[in-house]
Amino acid sequence: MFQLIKRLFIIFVLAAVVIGATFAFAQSSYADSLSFGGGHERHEGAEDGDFPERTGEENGRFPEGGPGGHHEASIGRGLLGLLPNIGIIALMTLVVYYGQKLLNRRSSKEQTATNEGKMPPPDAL
Amino acid sequence: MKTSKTKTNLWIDITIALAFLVALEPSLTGFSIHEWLGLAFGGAIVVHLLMHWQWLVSVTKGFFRRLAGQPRINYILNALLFIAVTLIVFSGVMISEEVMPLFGIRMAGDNFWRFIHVQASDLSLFLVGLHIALHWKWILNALKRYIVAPIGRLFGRNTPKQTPVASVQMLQEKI
Repeated sequence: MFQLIKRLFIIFVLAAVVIGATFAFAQSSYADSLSFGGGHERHEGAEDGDFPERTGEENGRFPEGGPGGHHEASIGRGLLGLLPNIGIIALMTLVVYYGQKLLNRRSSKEQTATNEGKMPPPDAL
Repeated sequence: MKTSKTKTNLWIDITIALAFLVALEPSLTGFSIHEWLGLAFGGAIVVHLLMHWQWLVSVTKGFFRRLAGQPRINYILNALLFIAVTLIVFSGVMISEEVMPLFGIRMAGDNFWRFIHVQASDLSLFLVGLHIALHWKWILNALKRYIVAPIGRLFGRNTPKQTPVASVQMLQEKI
């Protein structure tokens, strides 16, 4: 039990380091100079403790296709959206795994050739 | 009945991979499920890390000493994945419009966190691709052993049982 708590503590400390670094980046002048798609700064019209209403927003939701993208689920569109993601993962797997295999085969062939080159001629034996 | 560690790992990994794919496409589930799934994904990653703790400790200790190329690349890749997943989950909380308001917390929805959320998600897609590629042999072997073979037996096909040598190879590949 103590081991588990210790391990969880380490994981959360590491995560906190990552989050802390991101917060530091968010506060830096470099982040201020970047544009994050329309306002890293406070929304116009916001007062302390509240946020302005966004155009077209109903019951706290953005309209379809509005800021923040589509909120309504659509299985057809969702499945279509999944395809490129699966494709990227499959492509990376193919390229990396089989590329690695190919490289290993080539290097083992080269190794064999080098070893053969080092062998003394049969008549010298 | 005792479940083998490889089998548990396989099922956790399959669940994480499916959750990652589904969470990556909010238009499939809607934002409410997307946010809850994202939080559960964060929890599943913690479990995944705990399941591979021994590997993490041994490679961390040996990282600056003599270590073969592949575990070193794997370690760096996993560290990047950890950073990306942490950023995805945390930025997701920061821009949450469904889960956090449920607890009475209204997030600012800052565009900076939105930017981080999208960029980290895109980056993690490539990192997950690499992660799967580096473990492809293990995945194939585990799938054959725990999914394809039982299904084959169900339909009366005699699939050869895994030899002890193959099991040791699977363990080595996982490491």
